[in-house]
Amino acid sequence: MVDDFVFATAIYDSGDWESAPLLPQNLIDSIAQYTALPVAPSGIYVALGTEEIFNYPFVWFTGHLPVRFTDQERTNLKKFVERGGFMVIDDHNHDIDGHFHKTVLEEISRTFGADALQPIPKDHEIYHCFFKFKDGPPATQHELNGWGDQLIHKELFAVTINGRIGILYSNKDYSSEWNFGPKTKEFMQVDPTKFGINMIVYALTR
Amino acid sequence: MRSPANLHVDFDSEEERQFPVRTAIEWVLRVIGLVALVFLIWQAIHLLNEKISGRAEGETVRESLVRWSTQETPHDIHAVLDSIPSPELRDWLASFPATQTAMSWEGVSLKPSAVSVEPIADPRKAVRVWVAAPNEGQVAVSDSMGLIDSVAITSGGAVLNLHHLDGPVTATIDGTAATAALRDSLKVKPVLILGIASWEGKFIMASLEEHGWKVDARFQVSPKGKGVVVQGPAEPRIDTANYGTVIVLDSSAAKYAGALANFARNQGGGVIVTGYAAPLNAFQGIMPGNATMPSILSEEIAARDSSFARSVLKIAKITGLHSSAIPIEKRKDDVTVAAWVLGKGKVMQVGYLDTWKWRLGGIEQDPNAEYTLWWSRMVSGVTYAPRYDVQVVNEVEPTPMASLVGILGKPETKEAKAAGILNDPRLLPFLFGLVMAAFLLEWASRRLRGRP
Repeated sequence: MVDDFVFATAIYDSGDWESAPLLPQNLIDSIAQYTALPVAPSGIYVALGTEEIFNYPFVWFTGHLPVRFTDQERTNLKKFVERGGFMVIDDHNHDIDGHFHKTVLEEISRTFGADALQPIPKDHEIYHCFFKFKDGPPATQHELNGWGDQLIHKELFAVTINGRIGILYSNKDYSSEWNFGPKTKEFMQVDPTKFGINMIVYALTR
Repeated sequence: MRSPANLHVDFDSEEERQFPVRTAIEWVLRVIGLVALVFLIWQAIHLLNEKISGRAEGETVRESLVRWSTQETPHDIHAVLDSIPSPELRDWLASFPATQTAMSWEGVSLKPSAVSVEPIADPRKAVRVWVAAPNEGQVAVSDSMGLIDSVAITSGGAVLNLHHLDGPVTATIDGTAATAALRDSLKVKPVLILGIASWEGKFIMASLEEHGWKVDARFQVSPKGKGVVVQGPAEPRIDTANYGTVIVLDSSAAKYAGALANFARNQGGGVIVTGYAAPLNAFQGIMPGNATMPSILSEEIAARDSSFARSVLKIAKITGLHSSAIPIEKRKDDVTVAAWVLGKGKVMQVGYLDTWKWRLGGIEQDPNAEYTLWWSRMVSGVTYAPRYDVQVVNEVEPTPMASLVGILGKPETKEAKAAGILNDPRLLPFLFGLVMAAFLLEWASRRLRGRP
């Protein structure tokens, strides 16, 4: 018996943190489908500015709107990552110079330093720790359809602490990609949430 | 008419009558001169036969040794030491009996002390320093880089765990310095973690790696296909050629129970069985005690909500300890960590559940460091770590007082002799002068009144 994995989504003061409400359940279903990991049947929303964040080592962070952390949120984020927590920050706009993108990068720089966020190579462990993604991060439909910036973002970025990813930053908009209805997956040729399993497995094993 | 002889007698008597006081003084001078002469002769004979003793105290010992070795040859010498002498000075003192000079010493202010240093099975080359000393004062511990720490002596000594040591370690207590150096070191072997992919495994692995341990892991994700995430070999060989310690997290490691028993019992390996694995039947043969489930939820958890320290983690308390098992940690009356020697190896049972909560949500100043150090110590406590010699440093003195007694013999207290007037050689010239003056005055007095 091991404690269940709990999928946590971050609540923060400044943005629309609830913009992908179906994503947690889709990833939880995928964990149950592909792995034997004990997983809590429902996700949880946890405020970044509270001590409760430290109960959940894996936290999903998304939104469309500009982000400005409060001092407490910034302090908690730094502490969370330095102590071994894993946060995925996903730009729900999937653009290059959008408000969320710019402001989140500013906050990351302010919290961890200007050079803290670095691109991760395509052969990084996160791309092959469970499912194999030999070309790096899988593209989303929004990128492929040319919706938005009409560019495919080739890489993900990370803040790394002691050789381990603490913050995984994506502007590929997985929040839209994985925020589908309960029945949608049945009609998909390829399950897009597989990369989400890799994120979780990586967080649990590295 | 009187004869000339009678005239002479009469003349003396006449003179004495004429100068009675002066004559008396002359007699006194004669007596003083004679007495002083006799005393002078007696003292000269006495000093010729007297045995010369030497005594030196504190900082004068070195210069006295120089004098006794090059200018004088005392019959016996006595050194009053106020600090442990250097090996050179100590050997110098010890050499005097070979030259027929008896040597004795005392050092009531010296503190008997000893220091020992031993390696800890730790990738950072940590060491443990043991200091033995009387129950008073402070001991200052230093190495070649300078002062490391200063601690109070209690219960006859002190123990320090040091992350690093440069050169010999010196423990100084009231000026008495004891020095020791590592004679051997330990070859640290990798750690293997077995379990389901979980926060517990992840945080233990991360902490041990951050401390410097090489960690292999086998985390099960799915029972099918490539459902295992490994770090290191795909199928680890559990033996002391590859690992010093294996940490077992949960039921997924049950299939290795036989290999783990052999690893500990016959090869000397260390096994740590954590909370969720402890109640499993597969491991009962190697465990120092039994684990109770369900776990106890500490009442403090509710109060502190999401803030964790080790003291408020959930535990599977350890009961029914084997007679040779040792409780390592307790929470009130409940044993939370226990260990025992199993054959050639050691097995530790950790009763805490989900220790990762301590690292992520700890209430200490730096829970990261506390958690990392704690887990590293758990591994150090059981790991298989073969010894190897290191370069021996000869200039060490781990037990200075004992060495001093061993080389110089037992100390003995000797009171300093008060220099008596009768055997003070400085009196000789004075006595000689007194003799000369007395006889000269007496002679002059007689001659001045015309007497021969």
